[in-house]
Amino acid sequence: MDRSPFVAGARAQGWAMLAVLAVGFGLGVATLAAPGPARRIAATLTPGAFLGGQTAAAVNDAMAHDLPIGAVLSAAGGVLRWRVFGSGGPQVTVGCGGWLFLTEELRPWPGSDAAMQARAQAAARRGERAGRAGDRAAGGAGARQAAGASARPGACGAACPMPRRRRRATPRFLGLLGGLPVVDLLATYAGIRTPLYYRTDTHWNQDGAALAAAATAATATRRSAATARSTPSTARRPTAPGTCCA
Amino acid sequence: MIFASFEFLFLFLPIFFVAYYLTPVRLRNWPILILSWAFYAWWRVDFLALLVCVTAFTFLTSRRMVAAGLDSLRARRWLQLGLVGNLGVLAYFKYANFGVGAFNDVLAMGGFDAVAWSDIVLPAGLSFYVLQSISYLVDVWRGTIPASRSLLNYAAYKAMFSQLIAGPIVRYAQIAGELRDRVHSLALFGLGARRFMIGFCMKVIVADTLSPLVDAIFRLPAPSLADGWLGAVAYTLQLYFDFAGYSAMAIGLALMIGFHFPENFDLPYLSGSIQAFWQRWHITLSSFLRDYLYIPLGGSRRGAGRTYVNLVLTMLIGGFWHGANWTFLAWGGWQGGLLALHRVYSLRGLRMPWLPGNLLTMLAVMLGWVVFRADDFGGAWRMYQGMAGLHGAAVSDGLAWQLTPDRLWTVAIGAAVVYLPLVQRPAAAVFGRTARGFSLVGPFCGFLVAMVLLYSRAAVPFLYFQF
Repeated sequence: MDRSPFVAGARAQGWAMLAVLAVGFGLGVATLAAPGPARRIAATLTPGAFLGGQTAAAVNDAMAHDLPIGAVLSAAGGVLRWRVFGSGGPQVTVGCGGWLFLTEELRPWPGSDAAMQARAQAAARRGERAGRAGDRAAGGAGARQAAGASARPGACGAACPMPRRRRRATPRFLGLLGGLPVVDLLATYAGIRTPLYYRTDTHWNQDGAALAAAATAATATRRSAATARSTPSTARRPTAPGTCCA
Repeated sequence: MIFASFEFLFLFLPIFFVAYYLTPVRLRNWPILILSWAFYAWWRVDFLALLVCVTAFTFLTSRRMVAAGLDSLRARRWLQLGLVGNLGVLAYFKYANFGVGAFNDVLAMGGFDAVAWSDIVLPAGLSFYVLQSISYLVDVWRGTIPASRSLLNYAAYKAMFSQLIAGPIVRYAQIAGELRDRVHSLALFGLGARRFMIGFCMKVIVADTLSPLVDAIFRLPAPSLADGWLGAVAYTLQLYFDFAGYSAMAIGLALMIGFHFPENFDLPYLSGSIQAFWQRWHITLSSFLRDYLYIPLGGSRRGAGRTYVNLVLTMLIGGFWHGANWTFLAWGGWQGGLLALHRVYSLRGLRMPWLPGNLLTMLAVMLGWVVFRADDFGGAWRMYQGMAGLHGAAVSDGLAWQLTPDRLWTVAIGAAVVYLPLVQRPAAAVFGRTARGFSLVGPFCGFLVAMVLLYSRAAVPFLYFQF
């Protein structure tokens, strides 16, 4: 019998493969015998479904999603991606400093320009109506954090296209508002060290929301007082990226 | 069923090995045949009938050729019948949609109504097993190999699941002896397992990680300079790791049951010229085209002009074999033109040093892969425009959100693996025992990691399944 290291290594790899196949076969049988997959496969055990490939598809589906160690494998996959590459997987984009973004929210959607225009027009109309009703400041005060990601710390790296798009889009959006007053939350947030966003979400946390509400209320109060004195609007009309607006 | 799936790893493969090794040695072609047919039928039961018919038809034709006497006119007629039958099946299933579509385009230009037509599904592996039939019939007729007397052996050769769907294009002569008698040992099984595990890692860890990135880039309406080149590089790596990975798995699986399949890749991206590239890329197809097309066309024996025509024609047909699309014809023409250009260049005694030669070869290969990958000329043109910088230089917004670290790292790792052999010898000298230890344990560890990755995302079919 050849006892060279090469042959011994090959034999060891053969045994390792056999072990994987043996364990795998046990897992495969357990998968097919589990109540859920067994029920789904049993439903396809007809000649028509078999010839049409539905039986094979049901087995494939069970093997791809219902392995008894599926949860462990999924978790291990996530840990591997995170530890080795710093990646959050297909649904989560990782910024720096532990900030996470939903990948879908970074995606430039087709038709987004038209949607932005429609939204700006709707806001402008609301503002006009509010102005006619004597409460012009309220028109632009419905602060939302659509542009927030650009102002978020941790948006570096992975999320870089987001601020770039915002930088381009914000002045255009403000232009479309047609003179409607807006509240510059980027200026409000500047210099504040406490976190204003959830780290694993794209939304403001309680502090961020409270600051936004306070800034909006202050602007509205100022505008109401100014309106009461029948003086022209003094609300700031910022053009900085990250401006949060209606 | 694909190799990189749990139904294959955890159900089919264990059942196959148990059935195979429990069967007496002289009967072991039976489990190969029966379970390979089951493997094929897993996708579409009805197409199994086609495989069986092509197998029986080719076998019977070869027997009739032998019975007629190989030098006789009747044998030639039987050969022609066999070739026409096989090529007819390929033409119908693979090119009828394309032909009718092109015909309808012509009709539309003349203002006529289109011919009504329902698209035909291409049976998996048809392109490969038809080429096997052709090589078998021609080899028998030429007297290179004796015709198989055993339908079982021939059918097992045709159906062998490890090479049925996407090659390597194994010729009957290459395994005829092993179909009758082959050696089995744990060491051989282990060597095969190692090849299989390496191929599995190439496919799942590299190719499948790059797949969504490549798809995203080739879908961009206006790729930038960075997008275009990233897409070209990523696809260049994806195609290599996908197909070479598949071939490694096929070779490994065969070795596990005692068959020695021919190599299909030999570090093609390290080639210093386009000619060397085609000697190292999809070797079994290149050698098929050389032996059954280029040389019968006259090869380089009929003057310079005819040689260039033969080169281009061979590569055009090779391109069209990949798929019924004008883009594949363009790709084949591009490769043929490059080979002709290389011939002009080398006949004048000019030689390029390896480094600039490799860079130039890779540039030409990548430009070719763009049209090979694109759905149509419009898509290829958009990519070429992007690579020329006509849509800006920076990564576009449409791509930036899809650039995850694992995908970018995979591009880097893939490129490093491609060029690793250049430093393999000095590295082995430096790292010595560590390198040997890694070569022993590495494939198994990678195999486990690949299985983890496989479960956490959907299985991706092999790129060459579509051909």
